[in-house]
Amino acid sequence: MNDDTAAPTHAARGRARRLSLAPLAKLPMLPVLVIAFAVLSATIDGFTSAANLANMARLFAPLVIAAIGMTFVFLLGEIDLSVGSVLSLGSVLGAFTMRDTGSVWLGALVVVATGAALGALNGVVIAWFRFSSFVHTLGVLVTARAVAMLITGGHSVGRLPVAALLFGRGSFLGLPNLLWLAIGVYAVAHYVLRHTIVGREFFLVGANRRGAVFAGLAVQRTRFLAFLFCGTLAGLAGACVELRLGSGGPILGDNLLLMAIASVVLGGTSVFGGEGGVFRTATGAFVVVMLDKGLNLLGLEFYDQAIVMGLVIVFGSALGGHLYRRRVGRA
Amino acid sequence: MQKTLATIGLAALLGAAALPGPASAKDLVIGVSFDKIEPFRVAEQKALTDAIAAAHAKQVFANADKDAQRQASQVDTMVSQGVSAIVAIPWDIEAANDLARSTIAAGIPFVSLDQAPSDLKSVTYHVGGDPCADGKVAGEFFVKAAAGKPFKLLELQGGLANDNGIRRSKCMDDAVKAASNITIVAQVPTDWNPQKALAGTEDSLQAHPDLAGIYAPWNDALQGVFAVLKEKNRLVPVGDPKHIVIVSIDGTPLGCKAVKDKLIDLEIATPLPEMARRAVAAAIKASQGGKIDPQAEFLPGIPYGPGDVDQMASKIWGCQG
Amino acid sequence: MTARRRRLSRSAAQVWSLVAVLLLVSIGFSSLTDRFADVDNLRNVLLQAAPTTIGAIGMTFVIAARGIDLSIGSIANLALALAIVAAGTRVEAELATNTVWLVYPVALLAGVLLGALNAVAIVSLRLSALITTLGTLTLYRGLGLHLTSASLIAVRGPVLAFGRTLLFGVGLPVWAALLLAIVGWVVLSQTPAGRQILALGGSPRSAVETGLRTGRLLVLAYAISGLCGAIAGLIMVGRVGMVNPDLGFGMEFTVITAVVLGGTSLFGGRASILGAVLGSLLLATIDNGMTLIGANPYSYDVVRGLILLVAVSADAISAYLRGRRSAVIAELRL
Repeated sequence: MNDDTAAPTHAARGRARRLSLAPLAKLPMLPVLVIAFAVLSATIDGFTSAANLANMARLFAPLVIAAIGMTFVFLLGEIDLSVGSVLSLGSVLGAFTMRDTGSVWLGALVVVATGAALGALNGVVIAWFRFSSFVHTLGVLVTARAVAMLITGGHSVGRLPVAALLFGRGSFLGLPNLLWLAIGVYAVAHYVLRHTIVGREFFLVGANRRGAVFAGLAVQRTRFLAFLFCGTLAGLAGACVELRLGSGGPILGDNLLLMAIASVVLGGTSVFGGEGGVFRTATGAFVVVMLDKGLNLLGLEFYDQAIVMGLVIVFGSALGGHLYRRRVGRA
Repeated sequence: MQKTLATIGLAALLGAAALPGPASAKDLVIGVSFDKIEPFRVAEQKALTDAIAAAHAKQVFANADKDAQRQASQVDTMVSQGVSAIVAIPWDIEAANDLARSTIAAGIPFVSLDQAPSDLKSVTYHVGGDPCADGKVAGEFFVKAAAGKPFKLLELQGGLANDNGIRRSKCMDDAVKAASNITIVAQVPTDWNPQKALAGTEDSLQAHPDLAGIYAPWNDALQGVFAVLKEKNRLVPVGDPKHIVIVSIDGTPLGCKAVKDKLIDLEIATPLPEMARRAVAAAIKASQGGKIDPQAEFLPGIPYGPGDVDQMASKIWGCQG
Repeated sequence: MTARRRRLSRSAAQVWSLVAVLLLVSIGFSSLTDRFADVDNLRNVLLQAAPTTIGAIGMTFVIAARGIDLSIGSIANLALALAIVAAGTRVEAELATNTVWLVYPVALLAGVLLGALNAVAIVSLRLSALITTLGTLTLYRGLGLHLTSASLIAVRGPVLAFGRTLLFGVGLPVWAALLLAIVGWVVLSQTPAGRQILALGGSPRSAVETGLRTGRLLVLAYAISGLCGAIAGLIMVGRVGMVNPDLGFGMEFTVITAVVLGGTSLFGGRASILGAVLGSLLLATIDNGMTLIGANPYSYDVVRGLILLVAVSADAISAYLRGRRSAVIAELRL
């Protein structure tokens, strides 16, 4: 397997810059995105209308936020299966708070805090107690969702203060509020990953964990942070969904896991770790949303949409992996 | 560098493309938003298609596949495409309130069908079965069937996240509460899943071999129930001493066949064609500025059993064809 | 202690602790309700556990090879959908009696091929098992629903026979599960192919370096998993009497939970068929017991999730105590 994946050297990057295909390897979805967008705009009436774009943006925002969180975990070669359930449980607790205290801010805080708490739990258990990330987060997925079902009796929780919807459905300077939120998260995540030492360590630990340990990096802390970020952002995504819908519920996040993983993988972040980034994830998320909306508008039955999604996930990630290996010179 | 160029390119693409869509035609277009696809929904879809065709209108259809966010997004899309009205089966009854309100605020009437949002006043009009009346009829039937003797009843429950599931269960419970001879041995939530109905029936029959009645508040449950009864040799027609009293709701072809085969004692048929007709009529009337009164209608189901199925067949949609 | 003996004794310890938990749980439920310890009820539990058990046996092979098969539920669905179509029926119709015998071979063959396809994609496209089977989970389910138009198709005749016949008073599916468990154990631990699969899972790099045909081994492991998925699907359809759109939905999580409970390590190289069977039985027992005592149904999943978490911690703690720096040395690459 891939434990001698080195982070690209300066020389290699310089070489890559001269090749015109280089950006493709980092963003395999970019041509797909442009082509798909063009095709859909041409064939679907009103696809590029302001209303539809705003609509897609509101679907895009929670997905990209959660997918950015997932990117941190993927960079380490790990996985967090619990994001959907975290979103659901968070939205339920947040909804109760908003409804009972009348404060949207407090509720949103509760949602994010729930995500942070579960993320921290995951982080501690996986980084320091050496649990397998797959199985542990699977356990959290099942348990958190079940707890959400238990405390709501299966119902969704509504009658939230009007302010919640005003934010969720509102716009600022022409862009939906939720999109601004996503842009903010993206900016922070991008900065952390590319311009801080902590961020750099994500790549190093993911690329070569043994080497990182011997180099004296705080490996456990990095792993803890990855899961903490992932959980927190899943919570934030939950807040977005809740503000958009005006309600929280125990099954709200059921589709998130698949779409978030698809976004990260399609974007080109390697599931083996060490390679990737949030810009890629954003392109991946955009493709996922476009496919979702586009296939829907084209009138495909939901099961035919699933067929397309499945093919896209398999071949999209194959393409990304292939281009990555070509770039790094290991065909 | 490439990344920045890519971002700028994308932004330009989006910016240049954000032109308003073409003006919509003056025909009536009804936006139909379903929460999922399964046999009963397929029947509802057909009923709606017939009603819309009869009203000389067009429709656009979207299936949210059990996702509240997707349904909100699909309805928003239909609104932006310029539909005249929305007829929706809400998946999330809480989110539906706000979805309805924002749709109405955009000037498009929002009619809910089959599943009522938690706040009835949020929609322009609601029409559906009357889960409470149906549950009550079922309960009263069990009371009559028990005839004062001890009677063990298995209550299968539909999805408890929506009104139909909740009230079909609750009102049946209320109707049998007064009869002290009837014991509800188990309440099994199944999320409208026939396999869970099977497991629930199996476990209850195991725990209570003298089970006397089964309440299956939707027809697809019967597949699972019948499978268990067949294994235990209890799938016998009405009148046979081993027969367990079964009451079901929906009125699908499956239910009609079960009645004709005398395997169930009472079927309460949801008046689908009428529901669809009223929903479409209200949607069109509201889109043309008319006021809708009454604002919500709950149509009780039509009860029929093996004794009167032949006379009633013409009124039951599931018994046609 | 040699590594092999250490591995074996850990498996044995896990199995024994599972047996202990199973006994405790059973005793607990028997004391809470007298309907639990009934012979008929126990037969029911075995019957209800059969599909998951069979799925878990197949999944054990895949996890032993350090893979994962998230698509097993969808394979069950698609295999059955293909079988129904091959038998000449479609929506709302009943099976034609002269071609109904096709259902079994088509379903089984489909299961093998769909599973093998997973492995082919993983190997030839150089993808991770997680992503591939996540993709095929969606793809296969979509195809299955496309074939059945997402409707319910009633079945009858020989298809029901498998699900409903009793042999010596116990359902046929239970005998099938028992047979498959024995065959699975033999293949995994006594045949060269099985041992090679374990070797592959234990150290993929070593496997390649020692010349094992890793591609073929993966195909074998995933084909077995697919086959088990199809068999589980046949049982479920046979019992309920219809092919429904939700067939196999969510099955992968229960199956994986059972396998992990049984002590098979996700790091590969250590697997226990017996453990998977016991894990599956434990989950079915808890489900059954909780229904009988009338517990809040929403608490089933809470209990199931907690059990998984406890099982994971037990495994991790025991690994830690034995000084195995699993996080550093064994890299989890799914």
